[in-house]
Amino acid sequence: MSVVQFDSVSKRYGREIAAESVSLSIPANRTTAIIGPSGSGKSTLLQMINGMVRPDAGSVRVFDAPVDYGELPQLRRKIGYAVQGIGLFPHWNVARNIAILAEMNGWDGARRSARVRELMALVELPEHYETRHPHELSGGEMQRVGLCRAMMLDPPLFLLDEPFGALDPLTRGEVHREFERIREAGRRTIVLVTHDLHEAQKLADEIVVVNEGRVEQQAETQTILAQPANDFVAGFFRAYEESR
Amino acid sequence: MKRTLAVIATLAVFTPHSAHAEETIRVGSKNFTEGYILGELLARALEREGIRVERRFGLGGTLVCYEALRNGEIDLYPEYSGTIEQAILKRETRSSFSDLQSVVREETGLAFLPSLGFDNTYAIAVRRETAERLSLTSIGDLAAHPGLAIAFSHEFLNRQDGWPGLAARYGLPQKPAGIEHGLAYEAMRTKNLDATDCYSTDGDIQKYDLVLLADDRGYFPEYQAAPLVAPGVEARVRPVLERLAGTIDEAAMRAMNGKVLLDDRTFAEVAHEFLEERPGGNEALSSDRTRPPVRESRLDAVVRRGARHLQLTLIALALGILVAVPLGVLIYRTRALARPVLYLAGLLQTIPSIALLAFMIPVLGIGFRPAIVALFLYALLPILRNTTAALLAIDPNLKRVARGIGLTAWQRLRHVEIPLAAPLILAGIKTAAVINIGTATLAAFIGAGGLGEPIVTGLALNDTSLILEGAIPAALLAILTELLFDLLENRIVPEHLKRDPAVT
Ligand SMILES: Nc1ncnc2c1ncn2[C@@H]1O[C@H](COP(=O)(O)OP(=O)(O)O)[C@@H](O)[C@H]1O
Ligand SMILES: [Mg+2]
Repeated sequence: MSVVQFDSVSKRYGREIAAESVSLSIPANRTTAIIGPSGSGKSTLLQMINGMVRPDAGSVRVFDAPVDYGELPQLRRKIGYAVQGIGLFPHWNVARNIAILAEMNGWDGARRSARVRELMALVELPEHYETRHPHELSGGEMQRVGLCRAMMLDPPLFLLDEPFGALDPLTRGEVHREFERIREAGRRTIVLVTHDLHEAQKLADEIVVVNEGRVEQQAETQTILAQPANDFVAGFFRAYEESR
Repeated sequence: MKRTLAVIATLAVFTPHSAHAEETIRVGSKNFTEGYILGELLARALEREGIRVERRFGLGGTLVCYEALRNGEIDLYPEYSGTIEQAILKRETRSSFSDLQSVVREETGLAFLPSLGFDNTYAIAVRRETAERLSLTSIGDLAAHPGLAIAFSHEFLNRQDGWPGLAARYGLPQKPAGIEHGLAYEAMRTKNLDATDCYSTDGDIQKYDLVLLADDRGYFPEYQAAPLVAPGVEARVRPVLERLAGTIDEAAMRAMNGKVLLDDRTFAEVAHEFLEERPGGNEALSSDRTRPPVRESRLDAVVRRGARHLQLTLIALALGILVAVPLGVLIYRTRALARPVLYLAGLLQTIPSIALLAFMIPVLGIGFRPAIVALFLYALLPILRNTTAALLAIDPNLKRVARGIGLTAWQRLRHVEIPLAAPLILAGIKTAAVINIGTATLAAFIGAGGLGEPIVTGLALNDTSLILEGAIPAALLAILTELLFDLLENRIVPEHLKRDPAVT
């Protein structure tokens, strides 16, 4: 069963190719990592799932229906979204940042704050942080708040675009552990964009390697490491090992 | 009987003719001493006959007065024959006063009433001592004395109908220097200067004991002063104002100008005295109507004008906010509009305020409304520009996330973009408010009142203390506005945005 399907999807920015005839299917209830060099089209693929990027050709299906570009906010509320820049709203405190979508969906205050507390406990943020503003948080804390916001409505699908990219190695380790916990807390489909093979290996069940807008290989994490499909994939893994 | 009287009274009130007779006459004046005095004189002469008068004095020059008259914003104002001929009708030729009256009637439909009796034209003034020593009586006499120290105002020196033509007409050999008019009189007092140009009714002529040389070759055009009257009120005012015809000669006008300029008398007092002292001036009128003018206390005047000033500024600012903030948002959302709209708003800003006010007159007349519109137009650009710039400057990552997590366009605008842009928008509003307070001082030129009133009058009288009476409260108001906005900023801008705008 798949949650997301790409069918011969292409996207160009002027002469720049961001996706070229991509056909891809993302399995439900698993974590899929999209890896590849910078500029290879990873974010483009991810943003086609929630309609932020509209393909020039081909079709994208999400939750077994083609993306309806006239009703994007509805679709997006079923998709948790977190990015490297985090993008916490600086004029709101932590609780409001986490709860914004529930607020827009008309949840009452009690229900909202119960859910906020639950999520903050899950990512080990102290309860009194609720009233802090983003500028009063460390990078790792901000990232956790960002994850809580993505989880607020308990969406069945998560899109994470290098969410741990800007963290120092120690903090990243901690956030990784929390990520694992989130993963175990409920069966969800997670699509994780990263350029870090180690991170993909650690967090993902399945890996998609992209290069210059094309999918080079898609396979189980263990399989892909043992059996790179072509020279590019093998070279990408090797270059990564050498740089460490 | 009582009943019949009541019916008659009612009929009288509602008969169109009598309603018309009750209408207030609006008297205008230009913004210089003589203009004010003559305006006040005409107004008081009408009031003495029981006619209700509204004063719209200190209008910014010929164009403003004339347009106001044409558009029915005022009913009459004192004007000069030479000005009508050259500035209004733009005629090359010179005609006699009576010819000009018919031409005015034909071309504009307005009535130019008989001259009040004096000609306020250009004149050459010489120190009495010099004039007597060299027996100078007419301009031509200057030709025999090439060594005289002569200086003219820059305008007179350079206008074709000023010195160049005068020198040619009278064969004058001198090479005069240019001098600021106000300084020329001082220079004559200290005997550094023998002759300069002036207006024949300048109040300073008496003060500095100067002699005017006769223009016996008729070089200077005539500037006979007379009321210029709208046809609708002519029948009512002509009989009253015609009685003033020929009653003011140059000496009398000089004396009245001098009283205001040098003796610190008000326009109203001077006009009142003239009407009282006129032969038969105090006959047969109720004491009520001839009561001498009462001076308003300085503080009362400042408070009254300050309130009017604030009213002008605040209404224009509120309208500016109501239009510019939504327009700024619209521009931000439909980028195609950005260039043309901001360009247009910028263009509006470059129109000099006084010109913008003048453009308003044909459409909106004079007074409160056009002033509000002009101030509103000036308020637009700063608010518009700041609104758009603030929205465009929001961290693109933040905008992307707001979109990506599923906020609708309206929710993004309302909950994220506007709040984040608010400090800069507020700064734009503050700029607009301060600009408006400054610009509103010019509203007095089109009769809208405010703190500009004493400035306009003070400029006319060359009276610094009067100018300061408007300028200081206006400056204080501007400073106060800054402070209030700073307080507001402190309250509505959240702590984190003040501290480090780079944090997202
Ligand atoms: N909005 C855009 N405008 C123009 N070019 C873009 C845009 N977004 C991405 N690209 C280009 O498309 C290619 C793929 O970009 P992206 O999907 O962001 O790559 P990745 O996430 O793998 O680094 C790159 O060459 C990038 O420069
Ligand atoms: Mg990317």
